[in-house]
Amino acid sequence: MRRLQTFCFIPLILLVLLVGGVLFALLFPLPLTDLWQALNSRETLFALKLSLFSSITAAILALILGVPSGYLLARKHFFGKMLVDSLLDIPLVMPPLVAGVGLLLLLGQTFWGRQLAAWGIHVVFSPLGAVVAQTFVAAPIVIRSSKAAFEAVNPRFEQAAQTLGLRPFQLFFRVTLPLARQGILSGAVLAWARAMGEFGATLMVAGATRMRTETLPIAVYLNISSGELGTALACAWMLMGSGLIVLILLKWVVGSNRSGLTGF
Amino acid sequence: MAGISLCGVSNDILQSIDLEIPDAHLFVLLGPSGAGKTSLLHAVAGLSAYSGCIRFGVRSVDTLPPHERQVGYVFQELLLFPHLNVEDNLRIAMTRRKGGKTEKSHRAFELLDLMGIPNLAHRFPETLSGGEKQRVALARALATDPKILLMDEPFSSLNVGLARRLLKEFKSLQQRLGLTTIFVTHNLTEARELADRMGVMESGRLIGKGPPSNALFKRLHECN
Repeated sequence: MRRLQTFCFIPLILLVLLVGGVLFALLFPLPLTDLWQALNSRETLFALKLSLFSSITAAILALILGVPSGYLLARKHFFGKMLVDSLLDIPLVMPPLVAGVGLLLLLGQTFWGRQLAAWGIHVVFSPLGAVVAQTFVAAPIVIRSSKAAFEAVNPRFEQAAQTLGLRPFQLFFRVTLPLARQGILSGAVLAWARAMGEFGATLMVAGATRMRTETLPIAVYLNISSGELGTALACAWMLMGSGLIVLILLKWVVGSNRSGLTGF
Repeated sequence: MAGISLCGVSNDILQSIDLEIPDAHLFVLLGPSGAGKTSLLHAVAGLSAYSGCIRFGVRSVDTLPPHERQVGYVFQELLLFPHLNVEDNLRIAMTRRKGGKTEKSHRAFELLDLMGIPNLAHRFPETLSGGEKQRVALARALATDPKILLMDEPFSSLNVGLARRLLKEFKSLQQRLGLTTIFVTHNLTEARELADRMGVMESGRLIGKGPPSNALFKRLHECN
């Protein structure tokens, strides 16, 4: 047993060195004054604002679309449910770049894309494209977590609520949803993190135009390409900061759960 | 208040149940596990589909969904909402009741007072003892101003002493409120102490009914 544990330390140390090395490389390649200047540059602040706007909007849209879908998949049996369930998993395993190409074709060249453009809604190569791409990759995360959260709620609570005079919508908002809130909130935080760091699909749908569709990951890409390491690192720091916020939020969401889900 | 009448109530589990419970009576339903006792309560509450007819007083409730039946139901697992404190557990049962937040809070405190637990209003279910939870569940069922009260083995998880005490309290409360009640149990002694009338179920059928002095129940008691 001791030998096994000693052996297991080798990969553990290698991974710690790798992660530590990456963090070190990101934190100290430039003088702090240069980095401070890059952090305050117009471009970095624009990328931060656009990233926050697009990722928060995407997370909200993912919640609006994903929570009812998760509820239906958890509670209702309908024809083709297994197919729908599997189909909604595809964005989770699809390479983001491929998802982006699909969205680009759908929203750019098909009837729907042309119709949207005719109504003045320009999705492709616009900031709206970033929101759409991020929603596409974030929604399945909310669906999965909501479905699991609703499945964990004892359906007998819903029966009890019915006998107490609650109509279906009152029952959902006052009993089922609060009991499932922990799983849904965790999903929302993860979806926001996924949207914040989204690159491939956003690049395809929104494009990479400075000061127009420049989210933080796209700013990293553009500035590394043009050799402006300071701005690229400043944006990378902000993305790391958002990752840290996710960790804290997740701990808070899990820690704040005061109620059990299974019964009395 | 109202009595209950069931005529030919059937579904996957129940087989043509006919039953009349007069107004303000406490009807105790006995039977082994799987006999269909809970299924009968579910049918009365509208929680499961059935054929046949159910009336509360003279009013047919067959087409009414559960939230419109005005049934107070104390489930075996009690099912107090863990995300709400005791007062809110009661207030949520008054959703259909007219009146503002203050009036509903006042009514919640009246009911908690009736149950002898006014001090528990701001506690969460997870912090309550078994007996306290039973009282809160009963108070919540009464908060709906029910026409009919359904109790599904509510005291089965308590120790014998506490269960007997709560049973006595419940009987006196039911008489005071004059509430027509179906009480499910598998404990014959408990049933005979409590019942105005009794019924025995087996394999989805009601195989006997009558006053506790009925020969069938005496025989069952002797067998026990």
